[in-house]
Amino acid sequence: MEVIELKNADRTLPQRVKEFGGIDLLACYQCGTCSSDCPVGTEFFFRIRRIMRKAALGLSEQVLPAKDIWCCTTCFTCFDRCPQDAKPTDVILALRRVAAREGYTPQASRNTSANITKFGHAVPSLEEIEKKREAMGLPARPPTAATYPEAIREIQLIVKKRGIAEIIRFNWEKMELEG
Amino acid sequence: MSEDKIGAVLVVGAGIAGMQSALDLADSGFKVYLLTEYPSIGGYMAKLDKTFPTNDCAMCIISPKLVDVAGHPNIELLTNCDLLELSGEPGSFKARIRKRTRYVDEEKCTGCGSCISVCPVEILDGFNENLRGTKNIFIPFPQAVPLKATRRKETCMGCGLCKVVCESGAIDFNLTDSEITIDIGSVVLAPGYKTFDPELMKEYRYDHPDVLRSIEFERFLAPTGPTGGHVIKPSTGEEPKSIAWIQCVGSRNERLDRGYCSSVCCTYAIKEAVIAKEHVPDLSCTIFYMDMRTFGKGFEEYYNRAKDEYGIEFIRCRVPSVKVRTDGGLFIRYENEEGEIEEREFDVVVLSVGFQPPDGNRELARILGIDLNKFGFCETGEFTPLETGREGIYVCGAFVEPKDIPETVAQGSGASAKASALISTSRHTQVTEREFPPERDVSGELPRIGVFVCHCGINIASVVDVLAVVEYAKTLPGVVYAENDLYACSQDNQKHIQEVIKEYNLNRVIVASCSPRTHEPLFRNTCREAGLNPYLFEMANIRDQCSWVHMHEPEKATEKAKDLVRMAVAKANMLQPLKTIPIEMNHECMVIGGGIAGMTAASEMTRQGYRVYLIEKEAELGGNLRSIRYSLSGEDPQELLRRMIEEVETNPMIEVMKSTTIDSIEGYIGNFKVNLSRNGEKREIGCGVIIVATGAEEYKPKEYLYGEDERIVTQHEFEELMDEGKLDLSGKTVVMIQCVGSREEERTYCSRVCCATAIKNSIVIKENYPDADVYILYRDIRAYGFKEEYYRRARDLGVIFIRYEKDEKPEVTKDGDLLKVGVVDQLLKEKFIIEPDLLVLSAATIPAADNPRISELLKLPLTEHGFFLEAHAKLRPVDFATDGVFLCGLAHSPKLIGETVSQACAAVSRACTVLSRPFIESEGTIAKVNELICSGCGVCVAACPYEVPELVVNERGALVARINEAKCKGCGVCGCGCPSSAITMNHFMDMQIMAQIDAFGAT
Amino acid sequence: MTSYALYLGCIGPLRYPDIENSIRLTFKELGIELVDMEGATCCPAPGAGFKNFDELAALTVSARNISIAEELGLDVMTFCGGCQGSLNWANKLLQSDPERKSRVNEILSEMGREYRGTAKVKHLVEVVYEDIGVDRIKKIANDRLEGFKVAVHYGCHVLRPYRVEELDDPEKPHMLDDLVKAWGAESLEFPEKHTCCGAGGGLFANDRDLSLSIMRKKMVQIKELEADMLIDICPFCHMQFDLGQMQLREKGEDFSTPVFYYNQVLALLMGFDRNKVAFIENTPRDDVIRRILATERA
Repeated sequence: MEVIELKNADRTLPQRVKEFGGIDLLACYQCGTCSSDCPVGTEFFFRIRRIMRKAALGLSEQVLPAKDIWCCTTCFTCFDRCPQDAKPTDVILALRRVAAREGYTPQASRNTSANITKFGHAVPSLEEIEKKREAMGLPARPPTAATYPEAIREIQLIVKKRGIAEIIRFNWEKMELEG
Repeated sequence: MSEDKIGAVLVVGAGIAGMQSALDLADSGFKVYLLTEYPSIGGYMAKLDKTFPTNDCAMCIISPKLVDVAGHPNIELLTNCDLLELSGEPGSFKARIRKRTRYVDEEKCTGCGSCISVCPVEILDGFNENLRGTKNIFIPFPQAVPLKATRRKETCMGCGLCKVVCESGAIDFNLTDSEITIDIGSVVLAPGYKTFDPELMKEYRYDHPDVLRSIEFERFLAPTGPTGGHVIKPSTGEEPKSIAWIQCVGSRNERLDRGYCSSVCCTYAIKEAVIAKEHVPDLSCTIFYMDMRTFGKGFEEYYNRAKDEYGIEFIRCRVPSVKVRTDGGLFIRYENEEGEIEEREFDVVVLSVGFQPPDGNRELARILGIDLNKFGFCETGEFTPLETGREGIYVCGAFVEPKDIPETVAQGSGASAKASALISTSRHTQVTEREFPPERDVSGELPRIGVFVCHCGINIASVVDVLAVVEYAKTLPGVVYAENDLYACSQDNQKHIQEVIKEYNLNRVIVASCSPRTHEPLFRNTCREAGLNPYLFEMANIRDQCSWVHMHEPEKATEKAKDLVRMAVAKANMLQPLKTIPIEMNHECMVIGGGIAGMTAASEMTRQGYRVYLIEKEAELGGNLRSIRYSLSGEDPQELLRRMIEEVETNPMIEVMKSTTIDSIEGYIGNFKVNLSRNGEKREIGCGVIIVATGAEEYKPKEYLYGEDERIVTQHEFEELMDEGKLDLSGKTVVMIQCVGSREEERTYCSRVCCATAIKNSIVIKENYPDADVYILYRDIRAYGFKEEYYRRARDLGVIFIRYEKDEKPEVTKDGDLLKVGVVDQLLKEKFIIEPDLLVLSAATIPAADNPRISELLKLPLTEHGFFLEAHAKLRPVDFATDGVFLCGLAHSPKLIGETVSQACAAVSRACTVLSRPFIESEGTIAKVNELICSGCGVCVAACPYEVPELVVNERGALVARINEAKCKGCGVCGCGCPSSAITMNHFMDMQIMAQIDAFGAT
Repeated sequence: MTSYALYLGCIGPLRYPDIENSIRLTFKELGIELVDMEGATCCPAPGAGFKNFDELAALTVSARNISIAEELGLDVMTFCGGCQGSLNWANKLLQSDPERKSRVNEILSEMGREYRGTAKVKHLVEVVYEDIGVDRIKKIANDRLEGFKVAVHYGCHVLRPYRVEELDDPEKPHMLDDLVKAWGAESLEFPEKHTCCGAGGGLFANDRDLSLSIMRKKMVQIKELEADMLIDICPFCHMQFDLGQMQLREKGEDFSTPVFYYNQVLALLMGFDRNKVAFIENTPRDDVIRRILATERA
């Protein structure tokens, strides 16, 4: 059994979680409603209740590097059901924001944000799909950022203003992720 | 303010709170108008099957109260009525009331039920929680008071069949609503509650036939319910194999604006599971919970028995939803203690629904000009739970805060004390004396015995062949009449018995039914009202001692019932009428104990117009309250203390005696003699009633290194240190450990107050030192009622709660100068080490060291834990079995200040039902000494536990034992011990007992 | 004529444009005008994109999208659950939080845009249910799909969080069921009916196996009930079911329930050519489409 000295716990974690959107983290009284009906829970040992607990206790080394917080599908079932309105989904997102700033981000999430920065869309347009669009009588590309490059530049402005590139380690010159 | 206070009270609400309140007031010399919107009194308690923790049948313990209310000359029932307006001022109110018509003339209706059987229209039966239909003209339940039919106009077909069959001509469709105005001095509010509607939580699938609300399941268990007391799976009608209870449905839920705890659901779910298992022995019962809140007196032991003896399964996880398989079966998915997701199927799912404020609460608040709290319950103060904020209007029961029956009954009595204090100068001005017809002289008559054999619904009749017993009874010597009754105790049956007595000229009555402990007084009264001496009545217990214990052997049970009836008849043939005599009494009160309970009782007693002696063994008044410096609501306990001390010390009707101990207490109700010592000086005081308010103590822990380090303190010690500015906790770490000395092998009970205290003190720390780290190590957080909100507040402030298990307790060690607390977090299964700068132990509340001595002096029983044992756990929480002595405060069991105040007021109210009488009536069933035979040996003197017999020299110069009729309790010890057979026990004479034994032996 | 600014999102137009076309064609026929939002971008993907890193970035991207509709003077209609969740969350939050709104507009002003909070964000299911109506669908369908067993999938973000979407009771929704029953079909009940498809929150790409096993839970029950098809109202859920079943088949597991976006079947019933509305698939639909087309037309 793990033995943890609570004096070494990360006091700043609950505060950071609150700052990054998990404002009602401390409302949780560990009832188990969230963990019990979580769609991920039956397939993987992802337990929101324990994550809320560890966050409140400041057990950063257990929570931030782990893949757990990235397994949430943000289905909001726990959010709607929580009797104390602790807003667990918001806590998960807040933990992701904290973890990302410490360098813990799964590749796939970085990719998606990189795509949005490069293309204005979560996925790039593909030639085979463009052909199918034309076959139906639609323009090859939709009238979105896929057609209007200014839109992409506007997205990039937002990215720059909010420091997203630094968080996901996106290289502006190469317009690619670092690793 | 007018000088003339009106000696009458309006009680709004006729559940157990309203009834208790009404009975106390009516027994204390006040006229009571008992108003309810329903056609019958009884409230929710009438719907319950059994009550925790004693598993008493609810209807059995409440029916004597129903009949008492029905027959009380000082109570006027206003059923099917609404309060429209209250005007005037405290002491002199006018209440305008609408009487909604039943379309039945209450004077003429006999409650015979003929109209019900012919009515062709079915409506939903509200009493049975809409689980079945009832007729459009109905009586809510068999023991309803008043037992009158009520017709619902909106759904009536107008066929008039009911009118045709009504032999009394009571039904009249042209009757209309009417209005009356009554004059009263004060008002008691007891409107009760309603239960949460699971439609607001569709995830629990209340739409499925096998998902039930707890109150519906209660009706399934009850013998008067829609299944006749059989536990069924509704979709198939067959016995279920597994039932799950889901706790906290509509409680502890901030999201639904119901962030309070309904207090009783944990214990009621355990009760339902235990009773269900008694009905269906191989039933699997599972309770899904968050915290197990069995904090009341006897509840923790009930919980333990449920686990150990009944095999009820407890799973600590709040259920997120009830799922339905494609074949319609129910299952629940949950995270178990190891963190695995499990799925379990259940035949039936019971939702433990919480309490809501009653319908019409806002309207009631508007009419009365009182405030509601944010949940819609009545707004009261933490230390003044019976006060609405408006003088003259008092409140009690679930409308104040969700609570269980003993708390409700205590508050019902407490509110009476408050309501009557206002009008105490007008006592006896509006009442009618109970008049009995002259007693018929039966001496010289041959016995003419009437036997009434009760079905008790299915309680007796499902096992014992009642009709066979009736036929058998008719063959017994002396019996001239025998019949069977469905519910012998119902109000209409009392009238019926009286008619039979007259018609058949009976001079002895036997009821073969349940326990004399609950029902003997009721039937004796029935006899008395029919002109028969009440001691010409005998009971045969064919339920508790027969049908209930021989449930699976009906033939043998029927034979035993016949035996019991035969024995009762044999005795009845020998019964003699007995007289009681009026005894003069002292109208002063003595309160033992000068803590908040004693001071409150003393103060309230003077407002009733009676003088009080307040005895305190210490040099200072205040008891445990001296240590309480903070409160959850922010009110100042020390200000309360100062105010109460000043009140009792300056009140001319209270004589305060500090540093005073009791040497001996003699006497009996109305005439106690107490010998006191103070600093060597002796004094004797007489009083009519005694209130025991001796308090309790904080356990000094032996565990967790208490006493070995000044950084380890109890909660009381913490409050004193904090309040006196001796702690600087800035940036420090504080650990609190719950259940220290409670819920253990040696002390199994829950000390009830520690969770609220720890939460309170943790909030005090965080509010003063936001950067302090506070950890509370607990087993269950018992922040019941509205205290749940403070649990949330503590969490929001950053207090960390860590759950530990009983068999894996925290370890406290010293490592050099460091204190270390090691605790295994049961959720994460990780061990945490915390280094506290301060360790606060929530130590148990233990009985006062003095209790055994007081118990000896007053002959009062103690519980297995050493607190005082009340007369009845549910319905007589502040009474002792010994008449004239009452109980309140921590002497009863651990409780919070508000609860103590309620009980103190309750003890006063109960005591006033004695003090308000001009004299005391002695018991009839006492010992008598035949002085001609008595040899003066003194065995009876030595044997009597109440020190009643005295050896005196009589007029003939012989040394004989003399028994004071007023003091004798009729226990029989002297009668058994007397070697000369000089002592006869009235009503248990040798020849009567021998007749019973001979009858038993006969075939 | 009812008009909406059509918000396309990413997966719809860039991976399953047949869904997009089915919506354009059916709505035109039913008299609802859909105006393109030029220069719209990713919503941004909830749980997969910016929202994982910075709340304000996500709010600003959403607000920028909504502002395009505001300039058109129209309410937004999304047809993806994820886009609905993203845009509606941002819209409701910014409408009630002036401090965040001003921070968002501070950034938007640098690109010459402004978010005013004057538009509503609605999902297609609400538009079909309210503006078109169950009765009209009934007339179109004429009970042609009687005997068809349909598993409906609302997806998560159309219903939850309830305080944001305020559309249908997440514990017992009925809108999509009603719209499917309007075709004459039976809407199946099963325990995992309202469970997440497993694609959201970035899990689709982060951990394909885990994402598939969540989906599998639902497909097992849908297969056991022998559903003729699965109807969804979200292209991302659609991709999860369509592509996901193929990936399961590649591992040797037999899952092949045909997957349609609601409007695709509606379009077939309205007589549109399947090659214009329902031809991009990884899980074959030929059989069931044939059966649909074989039913009598009114």
